[in-house]
Amino acid sequence: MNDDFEKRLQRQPVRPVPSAWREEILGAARQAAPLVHTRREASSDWLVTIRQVLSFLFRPQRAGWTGLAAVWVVIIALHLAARDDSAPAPTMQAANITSPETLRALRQQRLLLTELVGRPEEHPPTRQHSASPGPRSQRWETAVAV
Amino acid sequence: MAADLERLYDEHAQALFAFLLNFTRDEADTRDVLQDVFVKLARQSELLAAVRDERGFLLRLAHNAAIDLMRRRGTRDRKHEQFGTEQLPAFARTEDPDEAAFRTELAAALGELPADQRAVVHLKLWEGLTFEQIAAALEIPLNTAASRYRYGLDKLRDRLRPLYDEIK
Repeated sequence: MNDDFEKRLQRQPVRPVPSAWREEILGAARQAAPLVHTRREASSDWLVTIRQVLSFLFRPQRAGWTGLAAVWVVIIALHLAARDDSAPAPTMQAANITSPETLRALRQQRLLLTELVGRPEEHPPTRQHSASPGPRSQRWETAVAV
Repeated sequence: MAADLERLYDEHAQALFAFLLNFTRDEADTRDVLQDVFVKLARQSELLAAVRDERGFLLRLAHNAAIDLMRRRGTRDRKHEQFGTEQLPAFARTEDPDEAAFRTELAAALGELPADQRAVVHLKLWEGLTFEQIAAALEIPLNTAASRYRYGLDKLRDRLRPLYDEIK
């Protein structure tokens, strides 16, 4: 509850703030603000550049890029599906090779090759070179004897 | 941000100045603390983002900055013990000699109060804040704000009663 004394005190006007302080204080505050701003800008400069480049590339044709991505997804899906269909092909080949007709043809080809070339066991065994050929004088004597 | 700082200054600097001048009793300290407050606002523009009561928030910033100044003084040269004893014109000038005498005595009586009582008395009488607002601004309990005001006002009344009765 305010009494007369309190009201009397409240009526006393306080001193006004000196007018010259406004520019001084705001000037000091403005000087302090850009320092922080510059530091922040410098620290995230490359991030900002990347973001700007990506925005420049993607933002104007967002629908186009989305469509292109969808096309790629379809292409990859078709590719995977096609690879699944062609995968059994080697198995089929193996099945054909093991069929009786193929085996018979292979056997005939082998016989024909044997007649033309001869049996491998008919060839004389190739002479094994000894690990140590011996002295040069002995090699010369062997050549003269032959 | 610069425009926002100017708006903040135009709207609140007068109240902050009067509070700080009454609290520190020193014009140079008042200026330093006021500048500290605005430099802090410039550096941390997000400070006021979620604030509903700008005046209360700025008074709290100013009060904390003044307390920091007092502590620095305390560790440096103990000058803070002289806070409040200086005679300075805390109130506007007037041509009326009775009013001028009363204002001079009032300024002196305020200077004799402890700083914590002086802060509450100022915010209650010249800022018109409620005890809840004062408690929030000074970060003290509500009952503490009310009791400090009562003690401070009683001291002022005792000190100024003779002059007040004379010129009433």
